[in-house]
Amino acid sequence: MAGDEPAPDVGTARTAGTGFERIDWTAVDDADSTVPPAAVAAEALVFFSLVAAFVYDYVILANEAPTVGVVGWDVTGVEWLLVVVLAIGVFHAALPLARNRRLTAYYWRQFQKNRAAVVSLGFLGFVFLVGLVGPLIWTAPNEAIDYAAAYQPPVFAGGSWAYALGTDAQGRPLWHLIVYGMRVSLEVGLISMVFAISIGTVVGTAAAYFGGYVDEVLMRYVDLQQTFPVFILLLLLIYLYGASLLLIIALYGLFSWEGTARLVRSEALQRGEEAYVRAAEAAGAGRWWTIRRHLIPNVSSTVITAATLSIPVFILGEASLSFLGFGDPDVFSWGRTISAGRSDLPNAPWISTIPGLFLFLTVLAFNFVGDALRDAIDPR
Amino acid sequence: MQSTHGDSMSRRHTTTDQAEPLLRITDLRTQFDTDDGVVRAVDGVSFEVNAGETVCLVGESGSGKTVTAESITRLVECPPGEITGRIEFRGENLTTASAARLREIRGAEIAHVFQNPQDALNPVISVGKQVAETVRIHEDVSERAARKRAIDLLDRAEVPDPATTADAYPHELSGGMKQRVLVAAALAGDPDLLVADEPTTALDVTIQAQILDLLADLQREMGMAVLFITHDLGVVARVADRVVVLYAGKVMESAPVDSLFADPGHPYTRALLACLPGRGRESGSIPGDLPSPTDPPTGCRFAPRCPFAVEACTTDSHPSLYPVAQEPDTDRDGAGTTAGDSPDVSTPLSAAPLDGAASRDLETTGDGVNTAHVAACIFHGPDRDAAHLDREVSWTVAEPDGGGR
Ligand code: SF4
Repeated sequence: MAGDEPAPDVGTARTAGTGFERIDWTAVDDADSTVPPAAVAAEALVFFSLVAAFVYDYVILANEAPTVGVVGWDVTGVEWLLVVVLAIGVFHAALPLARNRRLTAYYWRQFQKNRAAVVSLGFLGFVFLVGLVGPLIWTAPNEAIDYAAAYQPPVFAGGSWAYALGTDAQGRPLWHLIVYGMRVSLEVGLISMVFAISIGTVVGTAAAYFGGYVDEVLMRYVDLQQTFPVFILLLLLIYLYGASLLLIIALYGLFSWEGTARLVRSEALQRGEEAYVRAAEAAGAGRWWTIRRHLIPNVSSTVITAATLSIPVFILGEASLSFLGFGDPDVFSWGRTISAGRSDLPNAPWISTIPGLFLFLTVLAFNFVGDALRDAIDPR
Repeated sequence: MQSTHGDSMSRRHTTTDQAEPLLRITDLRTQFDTDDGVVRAVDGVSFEVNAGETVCLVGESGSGKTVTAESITRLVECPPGEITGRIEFRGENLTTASAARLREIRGAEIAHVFQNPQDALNPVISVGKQVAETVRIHEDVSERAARKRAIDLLDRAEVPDPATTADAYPHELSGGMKQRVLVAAALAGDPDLLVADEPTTALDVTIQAQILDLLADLQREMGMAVLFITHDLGVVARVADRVVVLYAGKVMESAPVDSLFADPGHPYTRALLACLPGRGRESGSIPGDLPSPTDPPTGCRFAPRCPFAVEACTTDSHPSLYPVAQEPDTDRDGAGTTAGDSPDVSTPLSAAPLDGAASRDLETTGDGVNTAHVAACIFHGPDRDAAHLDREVSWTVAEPDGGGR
């Protein structure tokens, strides 16, 4: 790094002197890149209105009445959570990225070095958008049952464009099943991730910060949880209370944060040894100051990577449950569609394979993006 | 780098009979409890730094120079570290100061610049913000005001176009520029003592020179003292007023810079000088290794590598600091051979060529030990024959591969 000294250092720096007049203070003021209070206010407002809308929906509106009347969308419990998660994403990922453009541009350049990840990101963007708005456009699979149109092959296998991806045994267009499956995957992946990552980060930071006794207790619990058979617990609870998507999401979120906690803890401890932390100490910084200014921003890159890589695990987990028949019977998970198509594999292989392909590609894409993110924001 | 001299840092000679030096370190011992035993990284080091002057701590890596510097404001982690002795900063003993008091002193009165600018900056925070944050550690000012101060400081550290550079992230800057940023951050608290730990070692030679010039300029402007830690005698010749040579946690020699280069009193210093390019030996390192930190040899710590060693060197305890006797042909103003008894000698040192035998004047204080030319070798002891050291020794020992520093 020492070799690429830019030319100005040699020439102009010597003449720089102490000229205040050379500094354009208006530019300085404009470039102030701290978090504007407006963003905090906006976030508070959004969350307040979300809570208000939720209360309105549950207390005042009739149970069956659609929440958003215009499009006839009755927001369910899980969907409320999804909206909250999306709002968190906007305020804590999208907005900061938009604000720190230089850093974003730098990350993007790094990220672009991985072609597969760029393609994957495009695919995930597609899944995200379709999963989000698709259910408002295409009718629910069960409203599209049409036995007359059963077993239509997809276009590439000689089918018609009316059913581009073919239909299943009940004549439901596979595309509708895919779109609703995207929504399910989105909900499972994102909501569980936010749960797990939040708990994991808090526990990990606390363990690293307090150390000693607290560290010991928290980490022993993490060990315990890691060996705990969550899957068995899930089966038990599903057996007792019946399967619901919310239950599955909650259990994944609440019982799979131990990896993140470990990672964050070790990262925080390790970052505590970095030269810049020591430099801050040498400049008179206290411990809390160092944590806030140095540890949290730096650990966040680890957290983002861990978050990205945890999403496919949750999606795959839910798909497996549904495939085994323990999924929520009211939602059209990809796992459930795959499972339903098993008996038709010889005569209508597309019913299982197309959702299987989507599941495979989504999981793969998340892994590519996660790896590229790690390389881009955490080049070690 | 080797024999650049003269114009660099102003040789400041604060009148030495001032009441208190800015920093007085007495018998500093820093040890670490490790699995392999107690490491005495610093083992009875004493020296002083006067206001406005530059003192160089010189030694190979492992000599304890960095630990000495970091012990001053207790930056070494305790435990496993343990610091004893007295560290008086403006008369206040820092070894017994509270953690809160030390935090007040760090940055505001004693600031640090570290070796590797790459690591000392947080990669995910813009450099201007990092300087501004440092301003805000000690001053309760708004973020905006801190940013203005930061840009001013970057400007003082001669960062070109400071208002734009402030928004840059560390990876966008060169090594030299990052070190300027760190210097700017160190200046944030307007310190009286800047501890610069190998600030140029990680940089190119030309950039090194620029950073050294910058430090010299800032030192002059702000009147701070600098404790400069380096293994590079070329840098020492360029910046130092006085030099303290460390080896294996002990002071081997302490002298005004000209006196040290003209008439090194300690075999270890001679070995270091012989390693300078153009001074006899081909390149870089003294044969042999540093002694084991957990189990140093009895007697003189340098004995295993010292070509002058005699049996007595390995039997007694480590020799204490003795005044370096003057060469007989040198003009001196009459005083005896001990430095301590000529308290009024304060002839300014000339910026003599390094290898010239010009200035032999001793700079002394009342107690004589720390600013005079002293060396810890038994041949400077009361009843030994210092002439022994003048015996011709070839330092051009066959270079074993990697006796490295
Ligand atoms: S006391 Fe002097 S001569 Fe003896 S080993 Fe030490 S440095 Fe060499």
